[in-house]
Amino acid sequence: MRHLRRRRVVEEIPQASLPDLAFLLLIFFITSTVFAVEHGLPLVLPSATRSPSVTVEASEVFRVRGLADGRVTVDGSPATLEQITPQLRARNAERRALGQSELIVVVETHPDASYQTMVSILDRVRAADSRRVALQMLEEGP
Amino acid sequence: MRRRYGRFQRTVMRRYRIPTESMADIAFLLLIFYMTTAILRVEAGLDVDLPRAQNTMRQPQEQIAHIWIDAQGRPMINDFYVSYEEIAPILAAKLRANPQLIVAVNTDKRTRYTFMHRALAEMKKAEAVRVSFTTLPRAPGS
Repeated sequence: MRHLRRRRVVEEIPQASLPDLAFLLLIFFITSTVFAVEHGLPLVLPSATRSPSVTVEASEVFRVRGLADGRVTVDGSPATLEQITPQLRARNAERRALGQSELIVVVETHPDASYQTMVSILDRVRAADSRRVALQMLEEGP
Repeated sequence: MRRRYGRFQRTVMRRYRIPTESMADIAFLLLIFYMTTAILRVEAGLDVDLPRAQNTMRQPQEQIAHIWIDAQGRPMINDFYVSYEEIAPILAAKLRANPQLIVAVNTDKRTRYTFMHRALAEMKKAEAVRVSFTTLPRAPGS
């Protein structure tokens, strides 16, 4: 007598390629992820209530002006942005040689000047490793 | 390893292998990490073209409060346009929660400096003196 034997077919989802798939997605995320990193020009502002006003001599000040049309002056003389860093470095080196403190950089920006003008000046001042910086707005300007 | 089987000595070869069963788990773990931490940056809503600078510093993300000022000089905090007079009380509240707060000013490079000056005055009023002017890296050769 012949018996019919039923074969049980086990159905399953093939999982052999699962690590490949996971690694593929992983590589995509690793290569495409951009971790948000903020860069900026840091500055500590004087407090409106706690910072006392100080009087400084004109010889201690390195005055950079950003004019409405984007032009720049250094201590009243026309200059380019590229000239700010070497001039400031040289003046600070002279003062250090004489045992004097670092110059105070006053960045005066015309109210109609673009923000980029101020940032460009501040960038060049930072390149000269100058940390004593004051921001001002020109009341009247050319 | 040698084992005795009667009179003969048979050498049994042991197979060493690195277990790879957990590979998929590791891959998915990393994948989930990247998927949850990745920030797909979609800058929409406020059109701010940041200025460029080179001598910047990386800012700690966890201590930053953002202020955005668009090209028309409209300030924005927490995704809402605010008036300049509202900046000081908002920042003062944030400073009470975190005294180490750094205010990152994201201003459009075309913005007139007078708006920036007003924002800085409000920050001083709120004693938010640690400021960072957010910039983009300067393009090479510029």
